[in-house]
Amino acid sequence: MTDQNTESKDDTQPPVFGSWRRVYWFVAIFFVVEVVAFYLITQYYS
Amino acid sequence: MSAIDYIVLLATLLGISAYGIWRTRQNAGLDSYLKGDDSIKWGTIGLSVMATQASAITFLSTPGLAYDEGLLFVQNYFGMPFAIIFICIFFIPIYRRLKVYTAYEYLGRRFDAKSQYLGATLFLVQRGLAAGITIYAPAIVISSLLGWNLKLTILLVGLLVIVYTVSGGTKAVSITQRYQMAVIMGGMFIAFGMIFRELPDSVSVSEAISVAGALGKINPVDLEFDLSEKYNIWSGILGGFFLSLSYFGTDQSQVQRYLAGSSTSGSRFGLLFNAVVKIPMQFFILFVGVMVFVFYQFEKPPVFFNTDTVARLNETEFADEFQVLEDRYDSLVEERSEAVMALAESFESDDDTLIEAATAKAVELDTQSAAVREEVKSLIDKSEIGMKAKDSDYVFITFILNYLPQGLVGLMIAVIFSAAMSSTASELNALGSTTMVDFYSRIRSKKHDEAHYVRVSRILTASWGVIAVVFALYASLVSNLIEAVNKIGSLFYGAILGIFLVAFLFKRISGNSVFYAALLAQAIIFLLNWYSSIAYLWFNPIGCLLVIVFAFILQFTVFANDKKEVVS
Repeated sequence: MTDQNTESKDDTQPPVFGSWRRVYWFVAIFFVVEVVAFYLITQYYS
Repeated sequence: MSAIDYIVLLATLLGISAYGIWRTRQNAGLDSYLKGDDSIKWGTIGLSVMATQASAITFLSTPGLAYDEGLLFVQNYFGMPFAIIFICIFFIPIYRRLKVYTAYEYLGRRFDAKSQYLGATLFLVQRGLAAGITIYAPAIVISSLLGWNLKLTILLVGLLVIVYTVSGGTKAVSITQRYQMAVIMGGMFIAFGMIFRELPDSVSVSEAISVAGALGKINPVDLEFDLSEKYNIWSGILGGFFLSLSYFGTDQSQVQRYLAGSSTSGSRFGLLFNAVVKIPMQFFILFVGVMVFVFYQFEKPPVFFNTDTVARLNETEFADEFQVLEDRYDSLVEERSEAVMALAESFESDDDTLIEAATAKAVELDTQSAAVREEVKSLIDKSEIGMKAKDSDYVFITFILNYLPQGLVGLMIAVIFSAAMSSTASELNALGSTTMVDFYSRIRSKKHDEAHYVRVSRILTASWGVIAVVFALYASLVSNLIEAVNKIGSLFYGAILGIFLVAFLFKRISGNSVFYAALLAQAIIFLLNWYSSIAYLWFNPIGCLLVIVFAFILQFTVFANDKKEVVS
């Protein structure tokens, strides 16, 4: 194979929240909130 | 299906495929063919990753699973957000820095050629099998219900996917997946709305959900720890974490999607989009299944949803026995319908005693009718007509065909085939790329120009397409389809992930140690699958941990003198 190493256009800034650490925290907290929400809502109906 | 349905179905499938081919008609180089020119934005990556994972099996089997077992299956995805965060931190920066085409190429650089071949081979075996099931699953269900020719259905769907995947490569796959996902989600929301529209006028949305809860279908979290239990929060978080880590981090059908991103940021964000959206989406699809269950509390469901199986059973000596069971079921569901209506009305009263009494009666009748269904399944097994006594894959499609209006039926069949095509396209794209990059270009020492490699990639992608179609033509229905695919994946994913984690995290381990450790771990996983009752999700962490432990043992005993290899 030839020429597979082209110049990368890496931009490591996340589009929101300013840093990746904050994005990861957001995803983790969102997960906890949605699981708790599912649990509470379905407990209410069952 | 009416003429309008056929027009909607064909226009959707052919239109999206043709658009994909047209948009990528000027693809020239290898980078463009295998990685989409590194030009794809995070939104398209996000949808592409989602469309790759959500196959037709997701939309056929998942509502059927919920119809039988409620919402418990959603727990399988609880480990996924953390796995994706792990991949964003450790995997993506390395893949992008090394500018690899495939995940296994990294193993070749970090360890040696045999580790690269092993990782790539494990992927080719399990993904090659899965690609066949991905095409077969919707074809068998839809062809049997609509009376289509099964082989012709498989050939047409397979051919359509092969044409645009071979023609446009990675970019065509990503572009078509964007529109396929739009059709899929749009169709599912419409179907969801139609279920509520078909419920009796006197039953509100809240009462419908309460009925599902009273009958034990609203149960998304099981906190009990049990290794033999298929779905609980612990297998979901731990097993699901390792399964997702392996699937998103080392399965080329997914890695190729996010490596097509225009930047590390795009790759990460596209993947994280799935970490946020996937669980609600899966919950929603399961919830659709639960609502189909509620709908069939008021409408008479068939005693067995696969009408093809019932027709064959009726040709056997067990036909009379089946007729007795069907009559008993019909009378039970009629009684159950009245009891469930009384239950729904009792929720308006706020009288706990009344609600409890109505619930007890509805549950009792539901249990009795479920027992009759089990008897029918036993009869199917006993009759030895060669059909599986499991009909959960037929539940949702039966509702679609019998209760949705003209046009919408075509749209929903298009949803299912779009999902099949989007997953298959990613799989063929990845299988072709892996064979090209990890075997062909490595084994052939003679260098060629880019056009040669693009040509070979196209031939290999088409060849895998043919293999998948042939496998689909001769596959037989295995238990619940979505479980079958997850199980095949779980058998191999643990060992593959173990190799990658050793590569990423333990720099002192050499290629020899990890190679033999992976072989040992894979053999143990096969033995556990055959001789133990451990639920399949646990094979992911077990396989992964075995590779790591064996690699350490071998490194400090048998291969103690190996040169320590470090790539970073």
